[in-house]
Amino acid sequence: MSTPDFTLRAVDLHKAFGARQVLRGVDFSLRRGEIMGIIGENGAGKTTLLRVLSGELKPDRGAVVHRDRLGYCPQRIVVNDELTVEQHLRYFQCAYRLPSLDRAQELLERLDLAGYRRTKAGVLSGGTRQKLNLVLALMHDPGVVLMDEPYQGFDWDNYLAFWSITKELRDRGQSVLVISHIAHDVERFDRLHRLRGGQVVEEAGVAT
Amino acid sequence: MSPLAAVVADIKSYKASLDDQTTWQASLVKAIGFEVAQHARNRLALALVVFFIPVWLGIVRAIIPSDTVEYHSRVVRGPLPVNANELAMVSGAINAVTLIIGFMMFAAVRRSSAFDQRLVLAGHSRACLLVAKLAGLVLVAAVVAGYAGFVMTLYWDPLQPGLMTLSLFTSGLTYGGLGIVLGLALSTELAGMFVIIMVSLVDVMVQNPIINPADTQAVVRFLPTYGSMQAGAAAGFTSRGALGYASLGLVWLTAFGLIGLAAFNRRTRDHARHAPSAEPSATVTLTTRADGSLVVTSMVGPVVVCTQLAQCPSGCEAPVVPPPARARRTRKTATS
Repeated sequence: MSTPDFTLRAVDLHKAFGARQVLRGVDFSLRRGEIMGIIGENGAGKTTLLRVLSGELKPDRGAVVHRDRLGYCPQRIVVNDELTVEQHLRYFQCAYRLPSLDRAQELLERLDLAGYRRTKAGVLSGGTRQKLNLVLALMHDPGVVLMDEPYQGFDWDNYLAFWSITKELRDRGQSVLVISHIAHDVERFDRLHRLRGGQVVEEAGVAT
Repeated sequence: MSPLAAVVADIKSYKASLDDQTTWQASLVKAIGFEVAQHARNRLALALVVFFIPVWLGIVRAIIPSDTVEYHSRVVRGPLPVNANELAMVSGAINAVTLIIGFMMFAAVRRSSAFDQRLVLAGHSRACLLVAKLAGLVLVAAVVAGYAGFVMTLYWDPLQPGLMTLSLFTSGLTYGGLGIVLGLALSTELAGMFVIIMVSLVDVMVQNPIINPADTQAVVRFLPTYGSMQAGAAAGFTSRGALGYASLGLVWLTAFGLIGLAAFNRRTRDHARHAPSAEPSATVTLTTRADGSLVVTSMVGPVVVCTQLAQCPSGCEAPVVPPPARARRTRKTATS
C-alpha cells in the first residue's frame, strides 16, 4: 500500500457520527495514472469516505494528502437549480481560474449536454443534472478525480462516454477514484477495493 | 439607438468582456449577477412583493381605526400624538418588507448552501461569494423598500416619503442579514420561516403603542427594527431628520454579516491537505501494542526514531516536548 508515487493518500482515517463509527482506519494510496474502484454495501460509509477525501468533511482522526488538483463529483447532485448550465460553467471557471471553457465545451458535447447551455438546472432531468454534476468535476482537467456513483441515471451511450473520458484521463497520467455500491465492468478498473467494517481492503479475486 | 437601448448594449458588451476573466473583481461582478438572477427567479417572493404588500396595507387601512394614540418617539424625545391607522401602516409596511426580504435571503442562502461549499472547495473566494450575497441583499432591499414606500403613498401621505423608504430599506437589510445567518445555521425552510416570523412578531408587536403603552424603552431599543420604526414614525408624522435611527439597521446588518462570515468560513472549510510533489514529508502511523511497545509504520519517506534524544545520531537539537494527554490513546496518527 505504501508507494512514493501517490497522488492522493488516505492515512488512518476515522470518522464517527455520534456513537456510530463509520470509518475505522482507512489507509490507501491512489497512484498516478490509475483507475481505482472502491465498492461497498449500502451504509458502508462510501459517501462519508469520499466527503472526507474531498476535504468537505473533517475526519476525527487521520489525514488526507493530495499532490494534484482535485475534481470532485459528489453522489448528491450539487448544482444550483436557479442557474443555467452556462452560468454554472462561468461560476466554476472563476473558481478554477480557467482562461477558457474549451474543455468544458468538449465535455458538454461528449456527454450530449451542449444543447442545454441556456437551460436552468432545476428543469433538467435527473440524468442530465448528473452530467452537469460530472462536467463541473472535470472541466479543469484535474490530476485526481473523486467520483461517487458517477454514472447513476446515465443511459448506455452516456455510460460508455463516461468510461471513454475516464480512460483518457488515466492514459494522460491522471488518476480516478470511483466509489460505487456495485462494480459493473470490473475489468475497467486497475485496482478494486472494498470498504468493509470501516476499512478499505483489497477485493478478493480481482487482479491488482 | 435610444438611450435605454444604448445602456443595455453597453451592459451586454461589459458582460461579454468579463466572460473569460477570473480576477477577483470579475468573479465578484459575475457572482452578483448570479445572485440577482436567483432572486429574480424566486417567483413566490416576487408574488409576495407584488401582491402581499398592497393587500396587507389595504387591510390595515380598512380595519384599523383612526384614533389618536401616543407613540413614544426618541426623535421628538417624548410622546408623539399620531393617527393609529397611519402608524399601523408604518409598522405593517416594515413587517411586510422584513418578512419578505428575510425569507428571500434565507431561501437563497439555504438552497445554495451545498453549491457554495462546492464552489469554495473548487477554489472560489469565500469573501467574493459573501460580498455578492450582501450586494444582492442591498439590491433586493432597495427594490422592495422602494415599492413598499410607493404603495404606502397610495393610502396616505407621509411627511417625508424619502426617509420613510429609507427606514423600510434599512429594516429590510436587518432581516436580510438575519436571513443569511439562518440560511447558514438551519437546515429546513420551515424552521427558517418560523424563526423569521417569530422574531418579526415580537419585534413589531412590542413596539406598537396600542399593545405596549409603556414609555420605557430600555429593552425595546435593542429590537432589530427599533431604529427603522423610530425613523419611519418620524418620517410619517414630523419634519425632523432621523438618519441616525434609520442607520441602526446597518449596525444590525454588520453584526449579522460578521456572524454569517464566521459561519460561512466554518461551513466551507477545506479539510484536505495539498502537498506539492517535491515536499520532503514523512507520513507515519504509530500504534501502541498491549505490551506497551510502539509500532511505527511509514507510509512515505524514511523515519528516524529517537528513543534517547540526548544521544540522537542525527543531531536533533529540539527540546523534548512531553506528549499531550491525547497521545496516550491506543492509536495515534502523525503527519509531517
